[in-house]
Amino acid sequence: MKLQNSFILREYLRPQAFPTTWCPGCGLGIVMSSIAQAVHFRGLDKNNVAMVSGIGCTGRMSGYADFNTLHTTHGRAPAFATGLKMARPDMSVIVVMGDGDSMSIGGNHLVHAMRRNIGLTAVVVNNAVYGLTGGQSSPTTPVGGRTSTAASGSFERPMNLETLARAAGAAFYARATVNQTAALTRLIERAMGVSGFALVEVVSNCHVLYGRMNELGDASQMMKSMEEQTRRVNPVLLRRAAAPLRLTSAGSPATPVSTATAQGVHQDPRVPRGVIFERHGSRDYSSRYYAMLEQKARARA
Amino acid sequence: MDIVARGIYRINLYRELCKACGLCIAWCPQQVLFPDAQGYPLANAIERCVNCKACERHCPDFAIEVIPPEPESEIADVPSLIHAR
Amino acid sequence: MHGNEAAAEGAIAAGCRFYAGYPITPSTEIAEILSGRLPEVGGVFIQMEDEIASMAAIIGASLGGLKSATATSGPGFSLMQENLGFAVASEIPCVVINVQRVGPSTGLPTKAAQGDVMQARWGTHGDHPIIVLVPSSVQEAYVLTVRAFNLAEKFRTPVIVLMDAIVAQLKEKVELPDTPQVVNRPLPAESPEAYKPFAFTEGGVAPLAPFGREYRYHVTGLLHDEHGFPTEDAEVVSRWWRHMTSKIDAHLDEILQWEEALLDDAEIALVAYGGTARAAAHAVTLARAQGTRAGLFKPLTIWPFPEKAMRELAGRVERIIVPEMNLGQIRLEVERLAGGRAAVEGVNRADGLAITPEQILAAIMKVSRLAA
Repeated sequence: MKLQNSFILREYLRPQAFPTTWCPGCGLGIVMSSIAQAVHFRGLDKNNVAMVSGIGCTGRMSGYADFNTLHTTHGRAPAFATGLKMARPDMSVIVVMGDGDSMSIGGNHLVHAMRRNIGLTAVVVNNAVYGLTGGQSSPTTPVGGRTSTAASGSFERPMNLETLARAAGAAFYARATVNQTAALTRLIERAMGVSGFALVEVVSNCHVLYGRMNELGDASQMMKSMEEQTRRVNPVLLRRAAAPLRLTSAGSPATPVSTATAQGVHQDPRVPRGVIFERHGSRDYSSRYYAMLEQKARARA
Repeated sequence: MDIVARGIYRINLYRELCKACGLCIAWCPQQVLFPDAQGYPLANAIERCVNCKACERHCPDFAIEVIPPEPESEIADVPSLIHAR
Repeated sequence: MHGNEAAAEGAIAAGCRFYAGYPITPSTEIAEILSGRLPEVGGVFIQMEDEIASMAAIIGASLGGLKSATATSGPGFSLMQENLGFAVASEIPCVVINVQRVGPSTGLPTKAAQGDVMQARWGTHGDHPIIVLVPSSVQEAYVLTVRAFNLAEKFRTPVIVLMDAIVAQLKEKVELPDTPQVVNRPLPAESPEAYKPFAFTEGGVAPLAPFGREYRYHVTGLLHDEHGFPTEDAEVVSRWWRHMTSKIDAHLDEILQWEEALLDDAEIALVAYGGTARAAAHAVTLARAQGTRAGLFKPLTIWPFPEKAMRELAGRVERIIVPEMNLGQIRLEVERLAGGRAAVEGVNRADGLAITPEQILAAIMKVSRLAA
């Protein structure tokens, strides 16, 4: 099921703000389309949906989406969104962030939003580089990846968002790519139904900067390599896994990554995509808070 | 807007939204689309279209859509949307 | 009741229903009190991971339609500055209470100071209008906190309540009005299609529609047009500036508040605010007892500074003394406005101890001898 592009544009976006400022072939437009479709398929009233974004190429998404939109400061989107969600717990709040936005400058806010398990749908668009400022290293730049601040290749270990999310207490974590668009839509749609903090990491392409600096080809070639370097997770195997997935990279398609998954059951160098984990019995912080308020009010009455 | 209708499926191309990134052309499994001199897609072989929507799904700019006889949703008038204020 | 408690109760009375904060001495009691009080009135209290997040959360909650506040001290106030600028630029009402401490860095965390006067004015980057209120008693801590929320709502701006530990930790008797006058946020009268959330009206602001109604608009820290969309058009940006400055400047009569005591015949005026104004008031009494005609000018709104009143005062008195628990931050402002017509000097200390009436009296007597 794929909504017509013109319908998405009319119903969920702000066509008068188009064309976007994103480079030709940038995956961000695909992510935006999937978010819009996820909202549609969940049957949500767009008046009751908010999109909160940070700074960077990804941050610009909120300006193009026809929801209640808030383009915040760099890295702080989860904190702004926490305030909004607590004021309007009935509202569906989508937080879109880039890799630098969410894991570097905003790392603390992301960690604590996950720890509180506040009911936000976070979409982290990971292209392994700072795009808007011209291709500097990000916390997910793979080891050896060349950037404008690591001319001979990054030697820092990239952040593993998945294990971070698991440790911090997120309710749901899925990984998708901008190449598998139907899966991307489905995963965001599913994340939006989670009570608690749901995170979807979307591997995207910055062919203009990271791709060029690392000779990874154009947008379509980078998308093709996403297909080659990822695999759909088998949820049954995942549940059986004795240890959580251990990745040496956060899943950038640019450099092969080694994965030790479901020890003894499955060996595959490809990065898994799909629902990586979901915590059952999770309950959104805001609904727990308001339940406490009601309890207090009843006790007084 | 360039509407091509030759077989069962039509393709709408919204030139004002298109950035000529070439993704639609690259992902079309049926070689329906061809670049013009500036790299913008032309649906020169529309009769080969099978409505897989690979072009539409991969277009980051909402600049192309495949229109089957029974579309999944309404079709909006894109040029008027862009210029409305 | 002490000043922090009065500020917390003032917030509740003003309709504050959202508080996000991070503990920091000497402001922590505000958070502690509101963590109990807000749930009683159906409000939200949330302890955030840091002050950056606290400032962000109150902006988010304000957009959700709740009157929102945070409280902090100097180091935390520094962390809030980026998002405080966001609230200024995107015209989101909110209240920040800063109970100041001594010095840069961790400084003297438990001691009183007035070192953030300039940070309150210019702490965030770029030119910007701001409103800062300074209480000098527990009663004023209550009244000015209520007023801070009212001004924030009326002018769609963050308002800072700048306290010092003298007022915040002081216990004194207060008389709380049963129902203080409260400004509530109006809904836009226009249809969503006609609504301009950031309308450039000279001297006014558009009503702020809460998120979740049919008004779906865009809020950004980028300079924006009347609809909220980013722009780099110099003409639009200059109209934006005119709007931002005029919404405050056109209402100075309403925003500015100060108190005068015994200034009619005064030769020497004290300009003092916050906890220091208490010592200054006493020093005026002591000086008068010795036959020196001293008076007191006490700003309650410190930013914007009461410029016109200060210029008039400088034309009326021989000398102005500015006692402050800092190295002379407001003295600069007073000197500028006096323009040489009255000699200005400071009584300053930033060692954690309060300025005493005797210290100020000594300064009065010294300049009074010079004048004679």
